[in-house]
Amino acid sequence: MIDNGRVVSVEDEVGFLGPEGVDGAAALDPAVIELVNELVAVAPAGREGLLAVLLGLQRTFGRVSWRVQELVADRYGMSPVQIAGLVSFFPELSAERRGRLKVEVCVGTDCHLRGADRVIEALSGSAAEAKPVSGEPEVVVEQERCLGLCGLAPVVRVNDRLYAGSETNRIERTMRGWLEPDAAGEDRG
Amino acid sequence: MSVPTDPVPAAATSCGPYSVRVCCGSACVGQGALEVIETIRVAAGDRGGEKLRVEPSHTVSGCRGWCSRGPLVEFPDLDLLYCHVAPDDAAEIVERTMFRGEVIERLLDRTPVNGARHRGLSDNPFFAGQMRRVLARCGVVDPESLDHAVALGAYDGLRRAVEELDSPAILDLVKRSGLRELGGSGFPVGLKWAVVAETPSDERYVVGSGDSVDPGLTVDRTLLEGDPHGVIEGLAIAGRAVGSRHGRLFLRSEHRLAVARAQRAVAEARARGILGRSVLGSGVEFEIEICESAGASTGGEETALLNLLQGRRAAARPRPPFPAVSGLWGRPTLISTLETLANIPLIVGPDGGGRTVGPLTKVVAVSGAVARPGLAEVPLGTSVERVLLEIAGGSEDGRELKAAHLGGPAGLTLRPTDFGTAIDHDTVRTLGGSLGSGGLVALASGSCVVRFARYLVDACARQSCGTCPPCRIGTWVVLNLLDRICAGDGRLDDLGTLERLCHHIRTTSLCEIGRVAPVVVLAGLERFRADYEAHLDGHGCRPGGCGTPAVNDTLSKGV
Repeated sequence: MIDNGRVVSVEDEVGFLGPEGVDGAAALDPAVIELVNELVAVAPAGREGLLAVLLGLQRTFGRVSWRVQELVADRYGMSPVQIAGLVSFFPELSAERRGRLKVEVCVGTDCHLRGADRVIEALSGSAAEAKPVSGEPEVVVEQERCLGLCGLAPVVRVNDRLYAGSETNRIERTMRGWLEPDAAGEDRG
Repeated sequence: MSVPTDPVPAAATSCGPYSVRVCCGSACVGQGALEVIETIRVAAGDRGGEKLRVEPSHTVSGCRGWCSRGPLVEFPDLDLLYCHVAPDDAAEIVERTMFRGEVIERLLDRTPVNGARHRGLSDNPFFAGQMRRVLARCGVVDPESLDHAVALGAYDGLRRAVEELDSPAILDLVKRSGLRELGGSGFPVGLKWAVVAETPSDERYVVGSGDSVDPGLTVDRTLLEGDPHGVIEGLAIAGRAVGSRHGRLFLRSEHRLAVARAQRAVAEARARGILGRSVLGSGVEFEIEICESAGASTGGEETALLNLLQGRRAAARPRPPFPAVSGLWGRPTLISTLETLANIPLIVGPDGGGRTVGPLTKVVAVSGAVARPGLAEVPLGTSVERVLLEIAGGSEDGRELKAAHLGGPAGLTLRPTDFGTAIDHDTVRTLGGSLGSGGLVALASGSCVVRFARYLVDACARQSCGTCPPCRIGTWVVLNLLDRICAGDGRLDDLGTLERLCHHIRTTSLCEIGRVAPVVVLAGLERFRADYEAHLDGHGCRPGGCGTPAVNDTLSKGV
């Protein structure tokens, strides 16, 4: 369901905190339920596999929505609030979609010394300029604690392609190329 | 390009008289190594490579730990190493080097300061100055080929452990080796294993933790991307020694290629009967599950790691009970860093798993303002000076280094006069730090140690799980004080307050994260007091004052 790094959603619901409330919520897409069952089946048994299931959902849908959290809670015999506690604790998990294109800037020691702050500043500016579609941010600049690529510091990762922090122009071109595929942007990863 | 998590073509694209190895660590792949392999393969095919004498070679190699020079292309027979290779260079490399054995001057490594060029591994001080034992197969073996790893000695140690040795015999070997936990406490490994083995229980667990504190993360990433079978073997031997059937590899999700390679290696080892119900046909059971961090950082804190593995938030808990007695699901659990585990096959294997027996080593991740940053494995006891000046080539701009920080957040900030310090658990501990994950960050002349300390405290403060007040609140207060000092609003009594506060946090925090957070400030106040005092003149951190350059010129550095 991930096509060229672009998350294609097969679920679109509001969840128990949404306007439709608990009772009126539309039924989850059967494909989502099937995926949850599949992930639970392959994950290590019991609660030890819970995080792997949540990660699998996050990576497929770009978020773990409230409705999906309720479903997972049900499968593990837990209360939804316990799942919500996990989703809000782990940096990689989120209930809301954070952006379709993730620009990861490493802020490890070496990247910091070589000016990761300024890279974030520069890229955040151009990410904000990218026009949001349907109210969701298109590009999100995220800080990674250490990618372990200190030899390339400051390092930026976009769709698994690495860039030097000094190449902000190239990264911006990549962002534009990703957002407007017709514009034939360079380095479409 | 295809995403690097896709399986890299593992088949040997052997071609021509000289075999070639292209580094496929995530840094090299991210810079186009897969395209380089493809173009070399195509060019060699056009040239009729298959018809010529073909050495059994594996074109893909794992991470060499020299990411600053990638993508790397090596000709082992010619002792030749090309740096920063682009796909456009492939045709020339095939024609001139692969078939005619000529050296392409412009692709050789060049030392930035004096312009000296180095031809291969043997004359390059970065590699020649090292003693690669744990990293011996990194950059040589194809990390996605079990056969290649086995041909180079992988699983010899495990075979001996399950066929010839029993648990007490392995424990004895490890104890006698004098190995101490690398990355973390420096606790004697043999002692820890014995506690796990001797605690009565129906189940035991062994956990390999690939989550240390940066810049040591490079070590974990390189081991998994370069030689995942070495880590798996170490974990399996640990399981045999303490009587555990369940292994866990805890890996950081950000290191996607490392996770993918570890998963592939575990699956391959399982399919071949190296892991599973009967390890190597011996009847001993051992299974490995891979768990990802989901972006959380435990900073190497064992109790937080255990909570995460049990599907809980990664928060620390008071000790005792120690994990070795009551860990995962209340059972005795051995938690070890990947580097420690990768040492085990060398100790248990027949004559060191086919590799020569030698002294214990430490992998040091040298980074910062040095000419040749990268992963350097040196015998324990080697001086910081040797690593910084000989292996890493000294400062990148020829000016004297201001300081070097050894050992991550818990480490020591050393003045140039302290560079004689030996990289050794006890020496570093005597000086008030901890060897930690073995990161060595060189600070350029003109960098500010107060700002550097602020960065490390900030990293710890963000990692705080919030369980205990000294860490949750104290580190933020320290951070605010440092901010005030850097901004020029520091008061004369701030340094005394800092010192007292840091001392309290150090002694009263629940876990390692809180205990290490203030170390860099305490060490800074001791060794660089003048720098801290210089910030109290009302101007704070400013060019010409504390030495912070107005514009960080290192940003212009190309990759």
